[in-house]
Amino acid sequence: MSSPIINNIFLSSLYTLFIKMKTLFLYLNYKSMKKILFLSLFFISGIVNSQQYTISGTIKDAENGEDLIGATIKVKEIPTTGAVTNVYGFYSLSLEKETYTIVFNSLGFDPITKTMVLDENKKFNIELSSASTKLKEFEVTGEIEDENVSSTSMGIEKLDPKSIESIPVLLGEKDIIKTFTLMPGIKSGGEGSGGFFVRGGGADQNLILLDEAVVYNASHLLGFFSVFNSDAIKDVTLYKGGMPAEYGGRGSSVMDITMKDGNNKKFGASGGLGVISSRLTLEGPIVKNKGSFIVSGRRSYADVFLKLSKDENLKQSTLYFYDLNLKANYKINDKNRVFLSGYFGRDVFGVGDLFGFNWGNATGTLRWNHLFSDKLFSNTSLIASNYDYEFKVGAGDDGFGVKAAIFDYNLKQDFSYYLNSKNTIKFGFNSIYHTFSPGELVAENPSFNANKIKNNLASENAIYLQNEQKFNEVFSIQYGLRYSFFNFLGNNDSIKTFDTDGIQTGIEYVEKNKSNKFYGGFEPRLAMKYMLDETSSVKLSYNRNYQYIHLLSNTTAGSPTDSWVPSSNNIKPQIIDQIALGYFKNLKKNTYEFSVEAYYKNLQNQIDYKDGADLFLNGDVEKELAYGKGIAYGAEFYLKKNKGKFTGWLSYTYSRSLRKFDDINNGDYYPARQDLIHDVSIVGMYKLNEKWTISSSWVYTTGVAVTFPEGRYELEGVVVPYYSDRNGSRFPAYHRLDLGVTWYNKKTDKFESNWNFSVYNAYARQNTYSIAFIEDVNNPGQTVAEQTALFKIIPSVTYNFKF
Amino acid sequence: MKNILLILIGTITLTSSCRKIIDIELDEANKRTTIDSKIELGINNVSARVTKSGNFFGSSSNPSLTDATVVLNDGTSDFTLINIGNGNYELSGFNAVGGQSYSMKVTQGGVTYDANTSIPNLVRIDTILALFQPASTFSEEGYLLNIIFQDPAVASNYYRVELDIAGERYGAIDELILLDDGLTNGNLIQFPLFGADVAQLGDVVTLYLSSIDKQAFDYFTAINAVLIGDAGSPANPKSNFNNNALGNFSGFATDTMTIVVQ
Repeated sequence: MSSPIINNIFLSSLYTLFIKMKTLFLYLNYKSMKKILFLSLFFISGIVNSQQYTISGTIKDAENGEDLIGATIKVKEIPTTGAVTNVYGFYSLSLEKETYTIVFNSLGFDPITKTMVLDENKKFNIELSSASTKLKEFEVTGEIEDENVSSTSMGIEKLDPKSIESIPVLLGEKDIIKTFTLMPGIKSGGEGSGGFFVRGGGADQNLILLDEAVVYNASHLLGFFSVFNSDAIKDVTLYKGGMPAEYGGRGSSVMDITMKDGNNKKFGASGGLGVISSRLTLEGPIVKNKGSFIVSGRRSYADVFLKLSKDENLKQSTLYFYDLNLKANYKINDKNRVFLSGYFGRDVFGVGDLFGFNWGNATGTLRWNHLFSDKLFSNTSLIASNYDYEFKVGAGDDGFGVKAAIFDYNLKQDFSYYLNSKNTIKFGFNSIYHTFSPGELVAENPSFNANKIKNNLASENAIYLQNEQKFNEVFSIQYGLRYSFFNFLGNNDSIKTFDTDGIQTGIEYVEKNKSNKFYGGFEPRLAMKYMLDETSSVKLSYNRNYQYIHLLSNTTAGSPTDSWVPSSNNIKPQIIDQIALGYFKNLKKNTYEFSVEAYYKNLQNQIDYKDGADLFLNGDVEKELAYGKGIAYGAEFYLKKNKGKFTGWLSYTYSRSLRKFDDINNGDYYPARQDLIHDVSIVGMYKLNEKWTISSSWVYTTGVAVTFPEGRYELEGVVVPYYSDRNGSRFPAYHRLDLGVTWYNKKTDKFESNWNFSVYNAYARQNTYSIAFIEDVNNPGQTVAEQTALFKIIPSVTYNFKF
Repeated sequence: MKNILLILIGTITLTSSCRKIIDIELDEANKRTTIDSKIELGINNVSARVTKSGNFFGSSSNPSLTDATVVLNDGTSDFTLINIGNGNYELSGFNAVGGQSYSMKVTQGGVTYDANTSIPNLVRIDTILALFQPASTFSEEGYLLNIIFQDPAVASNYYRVELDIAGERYGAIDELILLDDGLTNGNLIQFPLFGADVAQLGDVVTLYLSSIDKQAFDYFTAINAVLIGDAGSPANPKSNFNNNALGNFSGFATDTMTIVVQ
């Protein structure tokens, strides 16, 4: 895109595409949506069954007994038929009476083939052994090789933590979220800010699930690291759009993270020593082949070095974070299995008695897998999620502090009905009880009146039904409908209603748990695939998502004190529609994969603040809010090399994300913070030999949209900047090169280890963190722009081991 | 939050973050009339400064408007401020009282700008407390000044605090110290003045506690967000002058106390 002419042609053709998509989108929105339920029933009722038998069971890793997610079951005699294991390693496939050769396989494993006469229902619990080559460490997906082309779904990115081992990262901390931001359509919130943006959505529009439990704040150290310790994680799937009907609650994306189950064959330990933190994981069988546990911990130790410092100030400072992941599972019998998993993580920051600040998440999930039959798989989950923060100023009689939290109970029931080889039906329900504690002032200091904003209570529920249907070799469709509904509940308190100017128009006393405001809506989900030939396909998807809870943040960067609020008398649920169209092509026997996806998104009931809004311990925060709408559109180009000594990918995203509020920017559209127009990522990993692997990544992103002054005036002798258009200016573009080298020690049966060396920001680009306008020291009266960058070159080293 | 973040980063990387001057192109906004006006409890305490806004990167100071007519009204009569040149206007001999509303009318270049404010009742400083603090991340060794005052029983009091420590002024418009009684209504309030440096033995400290109305408080809060730059999306403070003027007309009821730190 060096030539401006090419650039313009490119952009204008994209723009034309978006206009067309918008038309299609509107059509779907108004005409077809209501018919989808009817169509669903039509499709399902059209299925005729002859006498069939079912092959079912689980697929596991022979080495450690971990369930293999997305392992494939293929039938040689009918190449178009097959099944894929679910997140618990379970599969089910129904076929007519016949003799079959079945191949069980998973990427990076040696396949197992079984020939059988299918004259009754059969059960095969398969254990696959690792492939003899070490290639699997460099594969980014754990899926069948051509899944990106052949699967019905689109807008999906998958990572298995092993695959990101050699990608260079800040201070050597392997980080799932940071790696996802190297994928098309997923953008980093920037250095020093937590969160990520998916297809122009806000950071609060991402549903982040860890073993089904919602993680409300996924960052440590105000965003430098994510809370997910890669050692404890088996699989991560991120849905950028077209998400299946089983997911809901956030507008833009779902990041579904599955923790490891633990080795059920033998005890083992693994871990690592890094510059920032150390990790240790212990795992082993509870009863061999029946149950296992895993305990994985990580703690940073910058504070240990602070204690060694001669500087008194640093010596008094506390600064650390930790994560603890726990999981246990037990197979009661062939039909029943239970899992218990938990996560506890916290950041602690303080300066002596003067100041203390800590925040963290805690989640717990109790799950029960039950097989009603070979075809009907059920999972029941009881989930608790908590996020809270607390800060304190001073100690003893002079001290005061503030606490806030959000707490959820969640019951989730999911069924998978493997009707036949052409239809997989999923249905279930989900019910969440939210408790929001917006803030409580805790003070020994007599200057302060105790102040607790009453908890907000709400229930969020959903039911869904979905079918994935293969019509024939070339066409398949996944269609589903989710109905979600939300009750804003009373809490023996008066609930106020405000008009758009923030003037109170009503007040009503509502008893605890009595519904005060009800919202509900249908969320159609649709994904279609049409194979153009054996190696290429086109796909179309549409999804509508309701988001009933919202994050209020009065900094652009995001902070641990941002607070979640429910939809209420004043706040309406966000409604987000997305339509996406994609072309997928694999080359040279799946060595290369290429895709282009374009999307158009419509966002309703978006939230912003009125000017000068006061959020801190404000019981009437809702009167400070303004409501508007938004659009987002973009195109994502992706080329990836999966096999060979050299692997990696090239990703380019063109995207816009605009917002419109009556009181901002004269009611015109303006760029949202996540409006990062051009975004490029290049990632390469080269395996020199068994011992050495080198890697590199380079990213480029258009500068963040910010509001700069356009004039100045004088108050009390001080120059004050005068602003006009919201987000009308840009920071300089962001780009950065990272380099890494991994050295593998000779692997033995008992012990393996590696050293990872990395350099973050290798050419010392001073990327803009903030820009301040200050008086020129050499030229008084003249204002200049001063840029602050957070990092120059940051080298690091990490040692990893496993035995 | 930003400061905490910078301390954190400094600690993590054990290096200071890097700053440099860069070139940025800014759009030019229309020039707007700015009225910075204040009415303070007591005699001879009404003033106004009328200027024009300028280019952000402009080198000269903002032009003064010397041809304005500035009129104060106390609800019954008009009082015209005297043009003392250089864009400054003053009213001598006028006695402003607490609990009273005032309006101001400024006419310049054929446009009239109106604003209203009120002077709250005076709230007196009870004590200035100087508490010894060892050196810490936040400051050097010295005496942290605390203001103690009785907040009136009635809700919604707003304050701006300024102080001189050994001749140095703190709490000016680019480092505002603002308080409200949202969490402290009706209490004897002790507030540590973290916004100022610590004082040393023998320093003369003069404290000014100004009661202001909600509009002025909101205006100063917005100015603070703009000048400290912590706001997500900076917005221009809402002036109480109409017709797109910048600046504000603010009423102050100020109590003063002086001590020597010992």
